[in-house]
Order: sequence, then structure tokens, then C-alpha cells
Amino acid sequence: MGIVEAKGIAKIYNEGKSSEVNALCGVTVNIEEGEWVSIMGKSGSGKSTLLHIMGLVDKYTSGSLTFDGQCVDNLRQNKVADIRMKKVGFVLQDFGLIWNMSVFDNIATPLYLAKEKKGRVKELVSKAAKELEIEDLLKKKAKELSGGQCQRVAIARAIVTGPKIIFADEPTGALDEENAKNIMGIFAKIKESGTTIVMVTHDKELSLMADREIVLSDGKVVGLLENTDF
Amino acid sequence: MWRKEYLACIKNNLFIVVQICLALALINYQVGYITWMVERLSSIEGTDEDTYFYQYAMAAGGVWDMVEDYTEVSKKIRSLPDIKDMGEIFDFSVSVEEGSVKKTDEEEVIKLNAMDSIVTAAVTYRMEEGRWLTEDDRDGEVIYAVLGGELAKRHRIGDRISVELEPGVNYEMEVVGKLPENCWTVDMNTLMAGQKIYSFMQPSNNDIFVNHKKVFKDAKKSGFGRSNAHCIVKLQKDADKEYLSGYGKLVSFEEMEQDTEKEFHDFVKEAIEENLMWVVVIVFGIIATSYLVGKKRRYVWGIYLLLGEKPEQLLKMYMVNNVMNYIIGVILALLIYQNYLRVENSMTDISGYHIIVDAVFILVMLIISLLSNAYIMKLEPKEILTQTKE
Repeated sequence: MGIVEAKGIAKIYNEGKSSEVNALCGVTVNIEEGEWVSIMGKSGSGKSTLLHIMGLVDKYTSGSLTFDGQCVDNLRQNKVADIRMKKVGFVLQDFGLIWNMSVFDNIATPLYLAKEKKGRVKELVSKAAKELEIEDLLKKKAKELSGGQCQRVAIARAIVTGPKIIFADEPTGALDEENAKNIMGIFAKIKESGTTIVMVTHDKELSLMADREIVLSDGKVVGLLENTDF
Repeated sequence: MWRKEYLACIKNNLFIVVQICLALALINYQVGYITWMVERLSSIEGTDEDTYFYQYAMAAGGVWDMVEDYTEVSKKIRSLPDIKDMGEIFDFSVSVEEGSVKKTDEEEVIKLNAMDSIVTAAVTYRMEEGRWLTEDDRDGEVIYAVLGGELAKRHRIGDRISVELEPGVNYEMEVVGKLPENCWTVDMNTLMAGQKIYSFMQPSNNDIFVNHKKVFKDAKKSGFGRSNAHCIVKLQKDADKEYLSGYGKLVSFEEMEQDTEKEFHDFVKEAIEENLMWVVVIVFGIIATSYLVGKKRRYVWGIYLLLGEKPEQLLKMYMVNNVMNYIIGVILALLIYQNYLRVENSMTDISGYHIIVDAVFILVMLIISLLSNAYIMKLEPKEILTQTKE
């Protein structure tokens, strides 16, 4: 059984209005535990929408979604939030950091929200910072960091709670080539530790680093590629 | 987390605290003044129907110009038609021995109010403890006294105090009653141009009230400490008030109370007209600032939601932030108000009314804040995915 199983997922924006958009049309995908999957497609193909739905951030119009063995179709939002807090990490293109907070507090935010004890917070943040090689940045404000450093902080925040799966939405979109490769290297290490990664990208070269690619076009899956084939 | 969230918005929070302080400063000032007037209004418990305050009668008789002596003026008033009797109070600054400590008039002004039976019966005050003086107290062996102001705080019912009227004239008195703090008593001395009736009530401060005959006679014999401008008279049923008004203004105690009430209502109306508008403007400012802070924090709240925070927890965090602002605001406002009262040497102090009104203000503001920020419950984590700037 996969960690995320989406069956016939459809997403319609502005349903019933003249501006109605079919972002996803009956998408069925299965993400296995421990694999690194990239979602490819042109702009407007529905890849981010699919990522948000699988990450339990957005609702879907129809279809069925199972997350870590639990059907979430009719789950209350508070339960969904609990799953997000305990099992999911997010990495965003624009980092999603709180700019006037210190790096330490940014990484610790999910732990604060989970009401972890102070000692435990310090321990987990230090561990995540060490993994991302940003220990010397912990006291700095997020607004003082470079783009590459910001994304490392965002990844540290995503892994600090030890999630089962990380959803990354164009994680290298705001970075230069060198930083993008570094971030991909970090994802590879995270994957090695057994964490599942689902990443949206439009960069074919970066996409090849994943185990598998899901290619979307006009809200439909048009290709499922195993990268070992390349 | 709420601590970090509070500190993250510290500048906005300080601005809101300043606004809360301003609103409460206006409210507390008005509450203080209204309390002061209400206390004056409720001090007198009751008077006889035929009893009148004879405003300026003694002054008109020449006492204040020292043209005629007090006894003559007193006789003249008593001789006026339809006047059944006249009531007098003689007040003196005295020294009081309390245990081993002797309080002299240089250290603390203590006023002895020696009253005759007319005044004792005419005006009865609301008592904090014990009883007011009665006709039976005039002839007994024990001299009974009612205390006001700080003296009342220092003594218990049944205590004995030694009062020195003048060197060689001492009395042992037993405390039978205590006036409440901030009690207002009828004042016979004040004489000001354009004086309104209600201002004949003055705050009681270190007063000893006695009606014992011996004390009254000694006081009258020794002359009077301060000239009385007014007196109290009892009139015949069909007295010619128009004629008597040629001598001084006759005011019933009922009229006096009505006048005080009118003054009170006029004041409240004026306060509402002048200050309510400002309070409304400030309150609007608080709500608007609070709402704008919420809007500004939407990006950060989106991150919290994305990371698994629940909307109701977010609203709770925001409300804790507001409660903190209001608690700091009300404490600062009360401290500033207390300091203002000290600097102004005000007779009043922070009362239970201030606490109640401030608490109601906070409660109402928090409810408004809760309603105006209920949208937080509808925030969704995907907002952060479409909004990338703080």
C-alpha cells in the first residue's frame, strides 16, 4: 500500500461559474513509501494543485484520497491538520519563512505549534540544522539570509518533526543553478533516510534525480516514468 | 507560541496599548467624577419635612462682616415670623489623644462639630458602622461621638477618645458611629459668589460629630471657630416663605437633593457629549488597528496553518494577544490615573466602580475583537501557497 493513493481526483475551480476551470480531471496516482517522485508538466497543467491535494492543503471536488492508510475524503479539517502536523513537511518555492524571526525559531515553529518541550525543541532544531549545515545561521534573522540559505532553513523546518513525507513545490524555482543542485543533493540525502519526497518541478534535469516522474498535461496524467529507465 | 507571536507584533501591540490607555484614561476620569457626585448624592439619609437650609441668613445678618455678634444674629433669626426653631453647628479645630498618641491640630486638622438637637435630628447621614446621634445622647453621662474621614478608619465602635477643645477643656468621648469613606456632610461655612446649592455639601475629613449639651454649651460659650454663613431652621406649617426669603434663601433638603441630582445628570450628559465621541473614536482606532494587524499577519498565520495549526488555535492565539494588550492597557491606565489623583491631591481614589467599568470595557472590546476577527476560523492553509509576501 502506498503512503498516498489518489483515485480519480478531480478539482474544479469556480464550479458553475463562467470562469470554471478543470484543474484536475480524474487523476489516479500512487506514491510508495520511501520513494522520490517528481511531478512534471507545463504551467497550468495542474501539478501544483495535485501536490496541494496530496499534501492535504487543498480540497478536491471528487475522487478519493488515502493518506498513510487512512481515507481522508470525509475527514474533518482539524483531523487533517493533525495529520499535516505529524506526518507532512512542506518546502515552498518562495521558502515560506517568517522573515523577522530567527532561523532557530523558523525551524522550531512546527515544534512550538506541536507544544514540544523546550529541551526537545533545542535538540531537534540542532539536529536538523546540522543535517542542513546551517548551525552557524541559527541566531540570524531569516531576512538576512541568501536564497540558498533560506531554502536550507525551509527544508530544515520541513524535516524537523521527522515527517513521513515531504511535499516540495518548485523548491529550486527561486534559486540559481548551483544552489538548485545543492538542494537536490539535500533531497537525495533525505530520501536515503527513508522519507518520501514528492516534488513539483518543470526542470527536466532536476526531475531526473527523482525515482519516478508523473507527467501532467491539462489536468490529466499523461506519463508515468521510472527514472531507472533513463 | 503566543509569546513569540506577541513579540513579533510588538510595535503594533504597543500602539494598541497606548490607545487602550487613552480610552481608559477618559473613562476612568469620568467614572471618578461620577462616583464622587454619587457619593455626595447618597450621603444624606433623611431630613424632616419642616426643616430648611437657610442659605446666607447668618451672613446677611452681619456675622461675616462682624457688624453684629453671633448671639444677636441668632436671636434675630429666631425672632422672625413662622420660624419654630433654629439649628446651629459650632465647629472647632481640636486636639485628640488616641491612646498614647496626641494628635494636635498642627499635625492633622481634626474638626469637632458640636450640634444642637435641631441639627442632629434634621440631618441624618448614611452610616458605615454604628449609629447616628439621638436626642437621648444629649443629657447622658457619656459623651457619644460619630467619626468621619481618617479618624473613622483609626477607631472602632466603643473606642474612647480624649478631645481637647481648648487648654483645660477636655472631654472623654465614646465612638458610637462611623461615617463612610468619602461621605459628604452639610457645611454651614462656605460662602462663595454664585454658589450652587449642591456645593453646601462638603467632604467629611477627620470630623467628630457630637450633640451632647455640655459640649454644645462650652462651644457656644467659647465663641465659634469659623463664622457660620448659613443655618438650619424649622418652619411653621404655613410659613410665609416669601417674606423669609428676604433674609436668606430657604432651601428644603429635598430641593437640595434634587439640585444635586440635576447637577449630576447635567454632568453626565455633558460628559457623554464631550467625551463619548473621543472614546468612540479611540475604540474605532483600536478595532481598526487590531483588524489591520490581523490582515498583516495573514501570511504568517498561513504558514502556521500549513504546518498543521488549527484555525481555532490560531484565533485563540490572536485573542490571547488581545487579552495581553488589554491587561497591560488597563494596568497602565489605572497606574496613570492613580498617579494623576496623587498629583492633583484628589479626595477620591480608584474605586470598585473603576475596576467594574474597566472590566466591562475590556469584555466588550474583546467580544468586538472576537467578532471582527472571526474570519480567522475560515482561513485555509492554501492561502500561503498563493501569497508569498509578508
